[in-house]
Amino acid sequence: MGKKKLSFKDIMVNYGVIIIMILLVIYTGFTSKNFLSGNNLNNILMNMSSRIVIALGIAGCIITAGCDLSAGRMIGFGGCIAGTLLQKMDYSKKFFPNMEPMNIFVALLIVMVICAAFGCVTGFFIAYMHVPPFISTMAMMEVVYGINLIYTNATPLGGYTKQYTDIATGKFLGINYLIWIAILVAAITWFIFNMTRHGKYMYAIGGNPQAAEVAGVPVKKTLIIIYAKAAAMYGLAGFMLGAKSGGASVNLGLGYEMEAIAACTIGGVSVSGGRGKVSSAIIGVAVFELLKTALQFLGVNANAQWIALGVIIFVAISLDIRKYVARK
Amino acid sequence: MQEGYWSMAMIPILMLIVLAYYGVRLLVLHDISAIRGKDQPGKLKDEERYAKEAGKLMLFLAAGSLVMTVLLYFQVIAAVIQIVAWIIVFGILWKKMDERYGA
Repeated sequence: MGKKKLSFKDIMVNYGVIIIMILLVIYTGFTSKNFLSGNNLNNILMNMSSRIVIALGIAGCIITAGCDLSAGRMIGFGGCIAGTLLQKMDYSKKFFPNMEPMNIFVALLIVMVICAAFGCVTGFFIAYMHVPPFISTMAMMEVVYGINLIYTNATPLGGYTKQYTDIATGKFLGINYLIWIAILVAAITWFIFNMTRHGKYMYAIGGNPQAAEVAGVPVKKTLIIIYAKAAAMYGLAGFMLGAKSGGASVNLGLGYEMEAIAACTIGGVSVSGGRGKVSSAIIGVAVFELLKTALQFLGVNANAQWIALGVIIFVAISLDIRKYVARK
Repeated sequence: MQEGYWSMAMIPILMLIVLAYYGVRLLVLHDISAIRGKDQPGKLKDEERYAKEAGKLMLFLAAGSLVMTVLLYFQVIAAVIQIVAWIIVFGILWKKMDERYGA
């Protein structure tokens, strides 16, 4: 029953990207004096908070061998809806001039329900129309973007109430509210993934959807729930990003879906489905965010940073596919 | 206006390019794994016909994206209504195609 020893090659295939990134972070820590400061680490955690919520939403889709390219546009839509509902009365460019700002919890609920409704439609297309996830979610990306353009008239939003922006600045037990939200979402997602029937169905569908269906798993219903749940989480992330930046526009969240998919893959959520944990997504986001900050501290050119991130995404996904082939 | 238009049209243009690429790939190379994934279980009833029809439908959706790109210049509401209708038609056609040639 002895455990099989991992060779150097196995370690590099399984954890190579993470090891290289950690080495880079350690190097940056030694060469840049502010990198490991409390303020910078707090900033990194703040940046991670909304990205963890997005990654956990996308992780559910990836576990079923799907993906969600509409995440970025949903974030933008969520942020804009929240923004229009939570502007100050005395703001000169108020979107709804005669409407009192809403309670932040009611606004959040509205944002999440609207986004979840769009997620249901995406799930319906995947489950009942058998349209591959990448096409369905890409189509939804276009629809949501268009609706957001009509809703906001492509106007940037601002002038948020203090209660809303306090979500980004306020603290509880010395930890920022945004970080608490991410912790809460991670705990709920862990519970759903590991302790509920829905979580088990999700992994079964990712492993083999036809076998799952034969075994009595309600594949269609589960897929719709997964995409609706993910969309609700993107709405929450948009709400958090709006509070953090104090404004929103249709371009809020642009490209975040790619970052989230990359973070999940780096952490160990398999793009071929059936494998992945909450911790995988969190580790992926942490490593990705630390890397981005390390590159900034090392003075790497902004355009070169995109190339570096692209290379990492490519390597991580290639290694993931290689692991899958080797397992087969 | 010009700059605003290109900023708005970026996503439909991106979608047009991606869909056209996959459409051509399906039609020319009959590469079903490009859209179904390499390890999708379940054998298709007719792989060649599936690739051909799926490719045509991808090009149909790409055309919808192109129309949206043009309509965005004149009227955003019309562009959104058009793409929603186009996607619904695409979904129905895809379902029919999948029932006929799919797993």
